[in-house]
Amino acid sequence: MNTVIPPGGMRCSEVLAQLSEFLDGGLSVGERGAIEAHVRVCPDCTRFGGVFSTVLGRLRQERRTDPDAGRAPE
Amino acid sequence: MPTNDPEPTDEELLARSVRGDERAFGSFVARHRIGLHRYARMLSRNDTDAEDVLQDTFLQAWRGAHAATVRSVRPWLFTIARHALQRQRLRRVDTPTEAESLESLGAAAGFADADATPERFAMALEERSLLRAALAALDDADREVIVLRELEQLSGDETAAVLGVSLEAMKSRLHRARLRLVAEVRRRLPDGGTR
Ligand SMILES: [Zn+2]
Repeated sequence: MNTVIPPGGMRCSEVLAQLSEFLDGGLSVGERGAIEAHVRVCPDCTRFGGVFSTVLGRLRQERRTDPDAGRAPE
Repeated sequence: MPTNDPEPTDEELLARSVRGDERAFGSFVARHRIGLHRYARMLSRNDTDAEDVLQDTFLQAWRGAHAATVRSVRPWLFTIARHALQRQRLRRVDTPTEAESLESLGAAAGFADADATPERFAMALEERSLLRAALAALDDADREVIVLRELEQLSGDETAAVLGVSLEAMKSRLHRARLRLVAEVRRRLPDGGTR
């Protein structure tokens, strides 16, 4: 997004930097709102947010279906 | 003019350095600089890092020479250089600003790539081995934080404690590790990640 005033008052790089905190629920209401406002109108961040949470979701599925995933032998 | 003097030994130069003779230490540095630089260069990522290690090494040597009697100079110096390299690597892991930029990590993970869609990732990840392969491709520090936090489900504070870093440092490491994991998955998308 190359607009002068980026949506939500945030640049894509700032959204990218806070993506984990956003998904982990670690941000304030105001910070969340700014990201949500940005993502609503930014196709790049919408798509990448989807990719990021898809991979994390799959990872968490791994820990449910296979307790040994990524675990060293005990 | 000391033309009749034999070349001072390393030990003599160090002894003079301890008494505050910086020129003696300069001679000592000049004598060992090339070998240490070669060692640092082989084990650093670039010339800047190698130079940093070299400076750290000689600074510690200057201080250390005051503190202890040095028996074998070269092994002593290389040990100091090795510790300097280790300190540099640790700083790198803990200091996000010194690491790869988030922008380049994001780009590798497919940010701004219109073909890197959640649907393609989801479809590709139905093949279980893909995620395993992507995890295996991470370096140990990245895999470690992901295993602790995502698979073992330790809390943020617990993960930070295990890693021996602050909560903020752990979060930064985790975020970067996740981005690298996405990049590794993307590289394994059926048609190669980019069309
Ligand atoms: Zn954006």
